[in-house]
Amino acid sequence: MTFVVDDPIIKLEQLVFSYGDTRAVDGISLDVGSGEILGYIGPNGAGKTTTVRILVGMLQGFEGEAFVGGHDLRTEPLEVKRLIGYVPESAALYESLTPQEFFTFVARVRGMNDDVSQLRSRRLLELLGMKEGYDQRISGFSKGMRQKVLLVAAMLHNPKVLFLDEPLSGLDANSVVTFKEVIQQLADRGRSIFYCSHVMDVVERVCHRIVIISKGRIVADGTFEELQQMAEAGSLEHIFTRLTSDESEEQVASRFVEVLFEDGFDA
Amino acid sequence: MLKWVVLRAMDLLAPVFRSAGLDDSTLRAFLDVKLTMDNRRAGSALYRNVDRKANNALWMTMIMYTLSGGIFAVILSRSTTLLAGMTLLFGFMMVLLGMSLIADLSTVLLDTSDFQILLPLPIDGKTLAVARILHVAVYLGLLVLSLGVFPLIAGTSRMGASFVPLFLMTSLGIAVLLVSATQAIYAFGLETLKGERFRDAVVYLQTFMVAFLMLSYFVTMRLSDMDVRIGIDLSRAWWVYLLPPAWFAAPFDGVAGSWSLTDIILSTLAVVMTLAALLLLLLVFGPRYHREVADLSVSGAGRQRNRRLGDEDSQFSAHPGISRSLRNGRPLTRSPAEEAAFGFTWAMVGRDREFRMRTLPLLALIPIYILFFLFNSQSSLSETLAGLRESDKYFYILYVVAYMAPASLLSLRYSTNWQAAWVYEVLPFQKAGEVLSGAVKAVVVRFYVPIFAAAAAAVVYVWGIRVIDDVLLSGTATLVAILLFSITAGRRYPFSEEFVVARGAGRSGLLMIFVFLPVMFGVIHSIISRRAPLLVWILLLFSIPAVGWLFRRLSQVEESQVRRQAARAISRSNSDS
Repeated sequence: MTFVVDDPIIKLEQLVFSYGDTRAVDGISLDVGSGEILGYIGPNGAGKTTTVRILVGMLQGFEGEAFVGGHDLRTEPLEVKRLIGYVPESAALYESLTPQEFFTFVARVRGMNDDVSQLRSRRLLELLGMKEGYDQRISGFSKGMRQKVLLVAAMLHNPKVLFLDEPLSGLDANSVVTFKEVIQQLADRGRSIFYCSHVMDVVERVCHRIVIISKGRIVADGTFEELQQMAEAGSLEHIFTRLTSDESEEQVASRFVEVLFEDGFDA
Repeated sequence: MLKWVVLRAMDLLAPVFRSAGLDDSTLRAFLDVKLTMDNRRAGSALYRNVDRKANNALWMTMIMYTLSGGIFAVILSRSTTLLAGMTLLFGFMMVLLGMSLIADLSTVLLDTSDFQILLPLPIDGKTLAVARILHVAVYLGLLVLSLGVFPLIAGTSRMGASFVPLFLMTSLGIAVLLVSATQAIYAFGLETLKGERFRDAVVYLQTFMVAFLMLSYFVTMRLSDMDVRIGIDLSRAWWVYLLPPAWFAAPFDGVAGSWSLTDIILSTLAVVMTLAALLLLLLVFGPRYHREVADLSVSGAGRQRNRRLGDEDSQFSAHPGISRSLRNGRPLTRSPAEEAAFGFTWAMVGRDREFRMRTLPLLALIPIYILFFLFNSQSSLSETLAGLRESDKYFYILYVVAYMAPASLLSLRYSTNWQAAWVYEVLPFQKAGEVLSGAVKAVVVRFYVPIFAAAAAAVVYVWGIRVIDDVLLSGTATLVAILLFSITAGRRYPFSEEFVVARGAGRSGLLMIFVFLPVMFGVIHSIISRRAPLLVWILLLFSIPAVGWLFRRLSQVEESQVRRQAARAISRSNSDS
């Protein structure tokens, strides 16, 4: 099943990436249009993060074609990096800096004026409920506060494409609602969002289109309704397990418990 | 190989540990996993050659220690009495081991990164404390063995085969004493200062200790000279009982000749002190220190103490001003990206504990080296001072500063937070060199310029304005040395690598080459200055554009030429892809 997009902002043609002998990404072709929120999901080790790292210009040495905003990632990774924002999954931050200092660093590299970037970042962080934290060291922050710093750092320059890898992890319920709404409004204004997550109900509700990958290949590509029809299942969670696993999850669970009780070592 | 030996030894000693109420299988498992990790960079399981490199670094360190052991052997063979010779030898040894214990192995002692994993496991405090001490002891043992090679030969030729077992036993005692003393100091520090403040204090403590140890090193040297010239009769001095090296030297004197009363008292002190240290280590310092370190890691987030940084403190304060534009490096940088790297590095070097931990002790050594070079003559202090003005010893001062400069740059790559270096990969830097040159400029302005200015002012004050050409040329020569280092071996992003003990201990090997460079510059410079003073001015004229050219070269370095640990870790960690 392929999805036709006019004038795609992200374009992948037969993308292949190997770590030594293992093929993490095994021939993925995909187009994403402007204003589209794409949900990119798959089991652990399916190749999601690898795909994203190629698309943001962190990983070279791939086979096939990869374009973002019309720029070839092989020859013009710099142009791509200028266009995009990236929130890595549970990423480390320099603990001894304050958010203000981190934002200023990132913004300067992107050629933003200090006055603009400081005003922007202060207001954005304040809107996410972190008025206090702006000039405190990151070392004292909770997981959720760090995540907010990552989100603001990735969006500060108002990127054309946002790559989000598990962006809501650690956020409180209020911020989750806010951020989901932010993503949708950005899409309405023509920004594209590439959204990786394991939280199925968020993907189900937020994304316009969902791509499921397994073992480095696309196994499904379409709107939520199309996937429902294809897999003959109700929720995205069920569609997901049906498409990416050979065995029923109940069977796996009971075998898991069985192993624990098998040979007599008991705490 | 090392791991294999250690684990076999653990198996042999298992009954001993069990009878001491320790969990021997936990000890074994802990050492196994720690030694495995020491030899690996994070996430490099696929890259065997990287592992081998870590081992090479350890070998390098051991060879260097073996060579330094040669000095001991010389001291020992030319000393007047065995007591004096062995006291000096052990004095040296304590200094060297103490330095490595504080500088490199403290990373092991104060490691809290694994507490998230260890604390929930059913391991009792005593076992964990002993495990950590054993981990340190493995490296300490290797260093002792390397140091001992030459003294063993010299000692055996002087007093016969009985030297060997005696030396090994006393070395063990010294190691116990040193570890215990380090633990005691850390335990005390943890008790009085809580949480983050302690970690900050450790940096200054280490600086002080390194300086103190270095000073005693020079004092020992002077004593050895004195001994050769006039002979020191230690057995008659009352203060000999206060010298730990003398305690351990006494048994040699006794075994070789006859047991004097002094020998017996000193030897008894050695035995009693070692046992006391061991007991304190196992029963008091170990467990307590450990509890405190655990507190440190739990409260380590320091949330309760997260003070707001005022405008003064913050690097990017909104108020314009001279100091701000200096911190931002605006007049010194050529592109916004370079400016960003400058500001970032400036902020980080002041705060990153890892960087300060490696740099401050080095800086503390500068005045001590200078004192050593200026006054390392046989004459008295006043004579030396009078003769100073006529000499050209100011070259020592200027080039000691030069000698330390590449060392601080070498630490720039390390950070406890090295994983945060993913930002370099994501941001659109025109050239990776912009990061490097911005970072080097920040370190030069923040550390090198003030120290050089102080040294230059002192030199001009003592020797007068006539030496200004030499002062200025030493400055540009140092910059050239720094830049040559940065363009070649120093091509790493700042704060992007993990400091691993086994490898870190061997960084002296790489450093040697670049330490040699300023020293060579210094020698050539002093010769030119004596023979052809005019040439100094000409060289100065040429060196200024050379510095500019080298900075430009540095900023042109391509991403592919930068070694990136974080990037490798990223491309390796396919587990979450």
